[in-house]
Amino acid sequence: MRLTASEVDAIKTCAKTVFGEGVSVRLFGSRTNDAAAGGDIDLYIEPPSDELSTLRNELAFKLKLMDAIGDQRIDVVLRSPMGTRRPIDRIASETGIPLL
Amino acid sequence: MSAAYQPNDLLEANLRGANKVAARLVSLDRIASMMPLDAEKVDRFSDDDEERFDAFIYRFNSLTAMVQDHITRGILLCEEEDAGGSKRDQRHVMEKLGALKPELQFGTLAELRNRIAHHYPDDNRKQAEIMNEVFARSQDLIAGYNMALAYADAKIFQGGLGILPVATSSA
Repeated sequence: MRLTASEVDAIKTCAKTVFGEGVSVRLFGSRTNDAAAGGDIDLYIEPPSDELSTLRNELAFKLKLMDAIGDQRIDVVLRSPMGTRRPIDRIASETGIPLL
Repeated sequence: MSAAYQPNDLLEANLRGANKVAARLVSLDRIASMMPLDAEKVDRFSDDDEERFDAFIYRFNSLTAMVQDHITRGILLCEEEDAGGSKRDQRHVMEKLGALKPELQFGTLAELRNRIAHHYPDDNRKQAEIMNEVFARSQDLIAGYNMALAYADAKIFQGGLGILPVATSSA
C-alpha cells in the first residue's frame, strides 16, 4: 500500500479519537496498489456503534486527519448505520487493507 | 481614473454582504418545525418544502464561502498576514489572531459545504442526514461570522464599522 508509516499512525490516532476504541479502518482504492501513482486516500471506517456513524464524526475525522498529514485528498466511507449493506461496503470490506 | 479598492474596502463590503445572508439564514421558522428530518419526511416533501430547503442550503453555502474565502482573505490582507496559503493554513492564522474560535470547528463547516455539493437524489436517508447537519451547524456558522465581524470591527476598523452582529436563532 502507498501510505507512509506516519500517515498510518495519524489515521489510527484520529480514528480512535473521533470514533473511539474498537473502530475498524481499512484502506481501499488506488492507494492499495503499489504500482499505481497518486490517488485519493480512500478509507472505510466501521465505528463500534451506529450512534458513532454520523456525518458530523466523519467530517471531524477528515478535518483532524488533514491537520495531521496535510492537504491531501481523503475520501471517507462510513459503514452505513442500521446494517444497510451497500455495494461500497462489500467492495471496501473485501478489497481493503486493514489499518486498525 | 478610478482609485483601486483597498483591502479594507473589500473587507467591509464582504462583511456587509455576508450580514444580509446571515440574517436570512436565521429566518428558519418555516423549516424549523420540520426538523429533524428522516427519510420518510424527505420522501413526502412538497414542492414548497423542496424550495424552502434549497433556499436554506443555498444561504448556508453562500455564508460559508463568504466567511471562508472573502472575509478570511480580507482580514489576513488587512493584518498583513500570509493570505496565499491553503484554506486550512488561512483558518489556522484566523484562529491564532482570535478572529475565529477553534471550538467552532469552522473547517468542518467547509467540509460540510463540500458534502452538500454531492447529490444523493435516490438516497433520502443521506439527504435527511445532510440537511439535519446543515440545520444543526448553521448556528456555528453564524457564530463564526459574528466573531470575524467583531474582530474586524475592533482591530481593523477601530470600532467604526457600524455593522451589527446577527442574532442567532432560537430554533
